Amino acid sequence: MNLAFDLLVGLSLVWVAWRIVGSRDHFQAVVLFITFGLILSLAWTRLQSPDIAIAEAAVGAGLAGVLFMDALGGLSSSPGSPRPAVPLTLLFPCLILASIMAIAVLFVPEDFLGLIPVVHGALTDTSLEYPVTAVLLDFRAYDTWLELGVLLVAVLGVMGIRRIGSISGSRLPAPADPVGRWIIRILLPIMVLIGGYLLWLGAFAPGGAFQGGVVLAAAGVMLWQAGHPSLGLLPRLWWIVLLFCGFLSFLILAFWSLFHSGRMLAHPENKLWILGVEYAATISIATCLISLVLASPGRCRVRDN
Amino acid sequence: MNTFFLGMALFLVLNILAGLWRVLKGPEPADRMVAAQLFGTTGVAALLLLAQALESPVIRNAALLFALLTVMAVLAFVRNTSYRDKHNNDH
Amino acid sequence: MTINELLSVLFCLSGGVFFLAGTAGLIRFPDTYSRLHALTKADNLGLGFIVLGLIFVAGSLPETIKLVLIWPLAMIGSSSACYFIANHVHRLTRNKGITRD
Repeated sequence: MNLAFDLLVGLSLVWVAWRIVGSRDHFQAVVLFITFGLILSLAWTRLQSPDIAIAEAAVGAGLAGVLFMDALGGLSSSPGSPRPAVPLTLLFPCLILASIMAIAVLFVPEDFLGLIPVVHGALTDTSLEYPVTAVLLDFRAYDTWLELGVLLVAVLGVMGIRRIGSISGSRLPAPADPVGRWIIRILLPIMVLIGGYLLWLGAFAPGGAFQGGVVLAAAGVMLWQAGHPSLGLLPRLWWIVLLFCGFLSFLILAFWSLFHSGRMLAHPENKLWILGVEYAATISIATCLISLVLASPGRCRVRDN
Repeated sequence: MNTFFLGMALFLVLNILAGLWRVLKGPEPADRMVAAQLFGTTGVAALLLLAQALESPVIRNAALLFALLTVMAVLAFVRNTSYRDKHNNDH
Repeated sequence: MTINELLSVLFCLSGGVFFLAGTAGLIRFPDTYSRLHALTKADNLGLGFIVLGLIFVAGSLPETIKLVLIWPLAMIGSSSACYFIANHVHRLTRNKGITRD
């Protein structure tokens, strides 16, 4: 049964991916991509990686769909125009890459544990209990730091292309109808609650800054979709502070530890430090993702009636 | 017992794959959106079954997120297409 | 097999039947409105039965509460998504002044 499930999920992933690339209809490709995220989440679950499954669920179900729909709404071409076909010659480099990766997997020894023993051995050096969070926030903190930088660059890129300096003046969807207001009244508090829960969970179980940040961002985007300015209400200075606070907290930590212990990004023993950095990162991730959606080119200023 | 839950999850994945026919066929964007929403709920059930079959309760959080967030894509879909209708009528 | 496991299998199987019905409806029903019907009725009953089946083997109380929370959340999302799509199709057909198949 295990093998049947794995084969089915693996083959359907490849098939759906191929249909996404080959689809001639934009909207069809978007819906297929949302489905792809769902099947991918099942695959990560089967691979015993609940962290990635939860992240994939949060991004794939929540924000990716919204961003794609807005991108479609912003396309200048008429909605019916087909997508250009993907050239077949691209197939060969892809096949070569896939076979190289397959060979690489075949050469992994069966009882290979990777970095698991190293990470578990080093857990005593950090104040965190959960190995994945310890890797993300402590052992490889510069990775997380630079990922926050990547998110910032993405936001700056969108703002640059759209030629806007802040999100406060950006377009606003029409006010939600009664049903929209009803689900927001129910779902919004639950979203904030679950975002906080995932952040808190990250200390000892799958969850953490990224997953929590994405769910909080989904709450902000939900509010905006109902016609509320959401983060746009903030003064520009505050918005910039929220946008950069995750990146800056890592920077401060790097300098502080450089002068105190001579090593960059070495966390002090106090757990408050690491929690502060994680919370700042969560706020920055949520702000960046909300800004991405609010600055996206979707069209929604007018609503017919 | 765990094999049974895994088998049920397999059955739900087969349901999703069968439903993909509607996504490919259409004909309207709304039909494809209906299929996406159905997959969302089917995925929640499949993840819950997997959490039980693999005995890893944290997977239930992924199911919770799908249950909570699937509606966002529908909201964005309605928001974008309602503008386009208005836009076309103006011309 | 204990009585709890038996009940769990029974409820999960009935949930599976509803999911099958929902998928069949999605594929076979002739227009968007009736496909929505297949989605919200059959699908949420299906998830409800599977959640009910899993409660019997869930173990601890917090996990049971989480399971019970997921079902209404999915129902709220799914039923309002149904309303939004139906409203959208309704406006579309009214604006075009034609009846779609």
